[in-house]
Amino acid sequence: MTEEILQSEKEIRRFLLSEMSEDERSVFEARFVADESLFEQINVAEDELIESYVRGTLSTAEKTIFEREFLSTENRRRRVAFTRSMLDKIKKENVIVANKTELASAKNSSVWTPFANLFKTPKFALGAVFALLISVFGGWFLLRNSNQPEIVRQITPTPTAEIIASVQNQNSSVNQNNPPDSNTNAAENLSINKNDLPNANRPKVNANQNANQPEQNISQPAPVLALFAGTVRAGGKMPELNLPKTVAGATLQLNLESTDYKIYSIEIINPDGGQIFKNSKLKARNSKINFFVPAAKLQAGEYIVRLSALNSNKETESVADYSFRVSRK
Amino acid sequence: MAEILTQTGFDKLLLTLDADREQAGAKYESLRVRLIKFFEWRNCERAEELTDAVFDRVIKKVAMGEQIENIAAYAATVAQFIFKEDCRRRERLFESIEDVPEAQIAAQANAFAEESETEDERMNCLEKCLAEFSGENRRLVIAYYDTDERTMIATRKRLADEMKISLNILRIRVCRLKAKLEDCTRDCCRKI
Repeated sequence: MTEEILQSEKEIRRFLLSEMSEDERSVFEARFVADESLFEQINVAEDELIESYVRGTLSTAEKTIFEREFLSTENRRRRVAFTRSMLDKIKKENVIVANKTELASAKNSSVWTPFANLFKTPKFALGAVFALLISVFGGWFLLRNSNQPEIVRQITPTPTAEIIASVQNQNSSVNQNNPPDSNTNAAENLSINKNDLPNANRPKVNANQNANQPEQNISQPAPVLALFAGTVRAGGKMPELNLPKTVAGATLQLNLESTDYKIYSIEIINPDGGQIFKNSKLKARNSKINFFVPAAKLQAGEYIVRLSALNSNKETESVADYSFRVSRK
Repeated sequence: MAEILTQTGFDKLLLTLDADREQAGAKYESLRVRLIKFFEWRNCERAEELTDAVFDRVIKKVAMGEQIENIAAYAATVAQFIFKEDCRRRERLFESIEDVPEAQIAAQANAFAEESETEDERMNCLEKCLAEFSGENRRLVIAYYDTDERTMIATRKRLADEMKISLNILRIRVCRLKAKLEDCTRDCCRKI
C-alpha cells in the first residue's frame, strides 16, 4: 500500500471516529460528497473498522471511542451485528465444508488408505520404520546364514521352518504395505483432497477485472425513481425505471401534493390489472413516501402505483395514481 | 413546510448533472447515496429524509434558474446547513420530551423492536443471500473473511497477488460485495 493511501486511511479513520475538528470535518465532508473514489475508500475503511471491532483488534482507546461515537445509531449497530453474523457464518460454513470433504474423501479412499494414514502418525511411522529395518536386516541375515549352514550351526541354532515362514511373511507384508510409490500416492491423494475443498485462498476470480469496472453480481445501489402524480395525464413523459439484473430492487419515491394522512397504502398494478406488490404501512416524510420494491416483482412494462390512505373514519380513500415504466437491462 | 418537488425542477436537476438522461440518473443515485452516508456519519437516524430535504433545496435553486457549476459541492454545503437545522430541531425536541405521552414513547420503542431481526432470522437470510451470489463472488467473500486476526493481512495480500490485482482494488471489490450481501439480508429479514 502506498504512503499516500496510508496517510489517507489515517485521515479517514480520524473522520470515522469523530476525531476531526468541526472545520476539518466540514472540508472533508465536502471532499467526499464531490469525490466518488474518496467516498469509496471511506466505505472500505468503515467496513474494516467494524471488522476490527468485531474481531476485537481495536486498541482500548479506539474501542471506547468506537462504542461511544460510532455505535450511536441504530443503523450502525445493525451493521456491526450483521458483520458479526457474517464472520460466524463463514467460519461455520468452512468447518462444515471441510467435514463434508473429509467424509467424501473417506468414502473414496482405497483399502490401503487406513494403513497409509497410520504412517502419518509420527510415533507409529518411526516405530514401523524401525521394525521394518530390523525385519529386513534380520531376514537378510538369516537367509544369508542359511546359505552357510556350517558356520551358522556353530554359533546359532538351526532356524526352524516357522522362523523362516515368519521372516518371509514379514517381507511379503512389508511389500504389500509398501507397494511401489504407495507413500507418494497417499500424499497425492491428500493433496487432491485439499484441492477439492473450495479453497478459500484460491478463488477463481477473473484477474483482469478492475474494481471500478461494472461487474456482474457486484453491489450496485438500488435505483431510485421519483414519481409525481398525474405526470402522464398532464402530457409529460412516463418516468422510466432502468433496472439492471444485478440489483435486488428499486426504491420508488412518491411525491405528494399534500400530507393529510398518517398511514398510507400502496399497491402496484400491472398492465393486466393484477396487483403485483402491496405495502400498507407507509408514512410520509417531507411530502414524500419512499418504499422498496424487489426486482423479482418488476418485469419490463408499464405499471401504476395506487396510493390510498385511511381517513379519520377509518375508511380507505384513494389519494393519487403514479405511472411508470420498467426496462430491464 | 417542506417544499414540494416538481417534475420540471427534477428534470432540470438531471440535465445539470448530465446531458444524457441515463447518465444523469446514475449520477443522481450516486450523489444520493453519498449524501445519505454524509448524514449517517453525522449520527443522524433520519438520513434519507434529510437527503430528500437537500435535494428539495437544490432542485428549488435549479428550478429558479440559478446556474450551479458543481452540483455535488453545492449539495454538500446545503447538507451541512440541513444538518445544523436538524441539530437545532433535535435540541428543541429534547427540551420538550417531557411533554411526550409515555404511550407514544413506548409505541416508538416497540416499532424499533419490531424492525430488529433476530439472530436466527439474520443467519437464515445470510445463507440464502450468500447462495444467490455467483460461485466466484461467494468464494471471494469467504476467502477474504475466512482468516484470523494474526494472518488477516498476509492472507489478503496473497489473495490479491493470486488475483493479480492490488490489495486496494480487492478491498473495494469485497466491500461492494459485502454491501450487497448486507442489503439482501436486510430485505430478506424484512419480508419474514
